[in-house]
Amino acid sequence: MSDAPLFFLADVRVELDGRLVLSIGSLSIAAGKVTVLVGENGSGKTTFLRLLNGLLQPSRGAILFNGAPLHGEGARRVRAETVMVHQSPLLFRGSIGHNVGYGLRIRGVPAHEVSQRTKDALAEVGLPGFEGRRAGRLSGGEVQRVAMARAVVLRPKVLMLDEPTANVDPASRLVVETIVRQTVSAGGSVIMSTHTMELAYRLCDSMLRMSEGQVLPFAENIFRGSVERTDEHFTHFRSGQTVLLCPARQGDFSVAVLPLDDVIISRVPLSSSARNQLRGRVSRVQPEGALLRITVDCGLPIQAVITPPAAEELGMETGREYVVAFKASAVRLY
Amino acid sequence: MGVLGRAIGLLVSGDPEVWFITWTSLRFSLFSSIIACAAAIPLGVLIALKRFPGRRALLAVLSSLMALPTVVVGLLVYALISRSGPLGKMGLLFTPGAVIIGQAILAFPVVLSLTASALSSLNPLLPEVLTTLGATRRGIFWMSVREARGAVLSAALASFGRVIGEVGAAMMLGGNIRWYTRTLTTAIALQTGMGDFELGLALGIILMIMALGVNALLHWVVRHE
Repeated sequence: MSDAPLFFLADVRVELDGRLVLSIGSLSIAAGKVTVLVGENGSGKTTFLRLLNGLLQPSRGAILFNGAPLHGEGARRVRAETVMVHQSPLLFRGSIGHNVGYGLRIRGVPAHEVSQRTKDALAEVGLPGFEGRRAGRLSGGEVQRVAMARAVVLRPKVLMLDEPTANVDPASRLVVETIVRQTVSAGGSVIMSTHTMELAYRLCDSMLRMSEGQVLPFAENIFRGSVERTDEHFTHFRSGQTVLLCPARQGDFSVAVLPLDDVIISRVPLSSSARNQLRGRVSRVQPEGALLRITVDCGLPIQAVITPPAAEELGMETGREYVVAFKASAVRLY
Repeated sequence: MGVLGRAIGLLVSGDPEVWFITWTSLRFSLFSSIIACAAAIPLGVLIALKRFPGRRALLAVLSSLMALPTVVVGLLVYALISRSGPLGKMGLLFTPGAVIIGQAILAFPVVLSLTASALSSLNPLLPEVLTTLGATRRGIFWMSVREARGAVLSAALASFGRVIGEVGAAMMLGGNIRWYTRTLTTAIALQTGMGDFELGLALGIILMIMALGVNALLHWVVRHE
């Protein structure tokens, strides 16, 4: 995988019927990763996905796909290498096999190979032997899975999923998760929108929060790891060499989420109610609007936002040692 | 009873003129419907899938053109192809070609309007889903027709039903020439006028069977789609 971003957007605006529905200053989406879009209904997630899939032209701005402009040369490649699965998937009339094999047939894939790959794709989404069934007689979850099969059968380099877990049963949700992981482990990239935060945190390599057509700077630390033990007060969550104290909860969690706002940086350990105090060195200081985003390497990188006066008072500079503190109750487990 | 008996006798005896007239009617209607479909189905798809100003008004106009009076079409085409008309040199008047042109014009708005309204009711997401799966414009066209195939087939059948039973254009443009352009409808009109009820009734029975047959087929298609 090259270092060039999968998608790069610069000053992109989308207007529909004279109304500004999407406005993105500058944004990169990495290749080979799972990028999750979260946000309210109507925040622009679907528009964003349609834009990246070339289904919608921006009113202004440039989008690069693997370094090539999406309007010119990139348009053909985006079509050949990406597939989007819509939120309420539309199945064609006829059999499930006809649906799943459609993209292969129009690409001129020989009939026997279409048939084999269709079978395989249906098995992958947990619907083995469904080829001959009629599209009109499936449940919501099954329709979603057939749509997923219709997309993954093409072995796309980029899979775009718009709310794949809305209105589906838990089994179908699990299928979505499996497909996402498989796509990425095969070297592909996934860009998906969802309202299911648990799924979002579990799957994402990076998360974009959208609001009113804009991508907001992401304001949470996401730590991957596992539960070490749970006692009567805390759940001990291990991420790398570091153990975080979290609210006591039973369950098999794999992600701990800590909002940037809940992190306090100090020169010396505090005598406070914060149950987590970790030492580390500042690895990065970057401006973010009127604030500074500080990354402290405490065995795992923990980010916080502070004001410039606070940074001045703390003598903030990279390489210097600080204490990072946060309450156990500020950490959410997924 | 005597007239009906003799009419049925004509039918079962295999009277060559009866069957020639039937074959002529079928031929004209089939050709004109096919021509109308070839032109109107692609255009109907285009109107249904494209969003442009005045689209609704256009659909309304097309829909009202379905009721185009057959004699008016006959009159207009007559003016075009008569000896002194702009296309007079082609010598089309009172030929099968003239009838087929007139009937195709009658069938065209039927197919166009029914196709456009059938495809307008398809899920608006269809072109986008097809595009993301890699379909070209042509692919989107075919899949749209396929998705609405019952309605498109109904449109084709309706156009056939419209022309097989019309008399105005066939009479004015074909001239009701025996063994040449005489169709079921023009023959019935002529024979009845001449008092030859047996032949008129025999042809009427055939025409009715055809019209009802097309209608039954239409219902069957609609029910099964």
